[in-house]
Amino acid sequence: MNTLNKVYFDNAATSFPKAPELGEYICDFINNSSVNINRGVYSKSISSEVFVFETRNLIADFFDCDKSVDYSRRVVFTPGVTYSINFFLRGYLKKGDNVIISSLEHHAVLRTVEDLKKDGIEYRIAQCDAHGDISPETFENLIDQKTKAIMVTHASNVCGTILPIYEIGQICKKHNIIFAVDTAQTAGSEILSMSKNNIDFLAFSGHKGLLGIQGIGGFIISPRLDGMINPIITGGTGSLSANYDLPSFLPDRFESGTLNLPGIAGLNYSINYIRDFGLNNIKKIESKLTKYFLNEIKNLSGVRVIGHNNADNRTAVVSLNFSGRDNSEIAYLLDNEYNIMTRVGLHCAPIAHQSLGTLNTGTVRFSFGPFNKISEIEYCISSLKKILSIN
Amino acid sequence: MNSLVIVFESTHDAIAAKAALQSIKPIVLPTPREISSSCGIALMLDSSHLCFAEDSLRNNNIINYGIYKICEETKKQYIKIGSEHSE
Repeated sequence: MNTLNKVYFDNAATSFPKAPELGEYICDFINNSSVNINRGVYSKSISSEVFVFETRNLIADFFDCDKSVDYSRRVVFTPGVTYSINFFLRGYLKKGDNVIISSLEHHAVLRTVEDLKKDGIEYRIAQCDAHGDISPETFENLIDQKTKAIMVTHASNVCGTILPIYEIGQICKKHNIIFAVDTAQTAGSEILSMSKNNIDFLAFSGHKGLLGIQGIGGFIISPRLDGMINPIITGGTGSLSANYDLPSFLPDRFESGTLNLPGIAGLNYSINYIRDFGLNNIKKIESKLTKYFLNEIKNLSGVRVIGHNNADNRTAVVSLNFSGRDNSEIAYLLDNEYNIMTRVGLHCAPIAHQSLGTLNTGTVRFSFGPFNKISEIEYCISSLKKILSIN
Repeated sequence: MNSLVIVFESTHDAIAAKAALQSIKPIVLPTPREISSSCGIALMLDSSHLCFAEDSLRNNNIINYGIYKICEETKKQYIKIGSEHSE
């Protein structure tokens, strides 16, 4: 339940509210169950380990992993999707390799590949058009014999455009290169199959569409990557403790240190909630809200929708540019005068803004979630009308 | 009771095995140091369940384990009677 007494339109940053009664569930976990796994052999530790094991299975099933493979051990927990992306890019790529990314990438990808240039790793950008669309051929034309991976966001956190990951997955299969997908903007709102899209590395965030808490995320790794990713974090794993090297088996190899058990408990709860609620139902609600908002925005002058101005092939993320006005001022007034929370600026995706023509102005981003209401959109539109009538 | 102890490389394997063998209610215990200083969790079960255990582990793709029999005379020695290991 949204208890803020404000309208929350910043779900692309983090979902709010979280799954109903998630807070109480995690609180109960902390008070009664949060003992360490992999270290103690007392019975409560075992039940924590069973719980984590079940959550890995739940996630593997949720992302439709290949059932002929034991994917439960291939679900690795990290402190967040940024860490997952770093695990992949820093652990997999070597000097002389190149990786292809889209022009819509978040800094989790962009800053990391930029930093890897000093290690002799090149990155190539598949450029989007003015709507944020990128054709699969654009990616394919950038491949050469040193290309080791394509890493893309499933959808833009700026304009909401969904990328053609099925076609990109087929291109990767054809050229025998690794396909990595950042699902931060789509997990929990779009149907997403790791197996059907030929994804080798799926990075997920726990605190956005999956309705869990901040501080938990992870990745799922296919057998194609076995032995090919060098772990960037080393430490104790509660296994093979007499060895000075990390274990070679999963998930231990990538899970040094103590896991965020309350975060994992929360994910177990929230993913079960999403399954019960129905991913299709979440998508329907978010599409309806987005469509309504876009239809109403068309009637406001001086407001430009960045990217697609219809509800097709997009998430519930809408960026607006207010010509003749400072976008920051609009966002400030929305919050200060009308209690509507949005996000203004470059959203950690400067190349996306550059491609979409908004690098100098940024945009005001409105991102809806399954608990938003049409009445909130109506209120937002009437608030914008009032703001725009004042110069 | 004549007992077997199954030891695993990782806790994940041990928990997966516990789930696979739940119908025979294996006992979870710390891996005896005499067997291995590796992973902390092992499963103990009655030796009459040996075939069932091996079949279940194989059917659930659980590899990398060792099965030990507790020496009847001393109750402290463990004799390896079976194992599966990955490449």
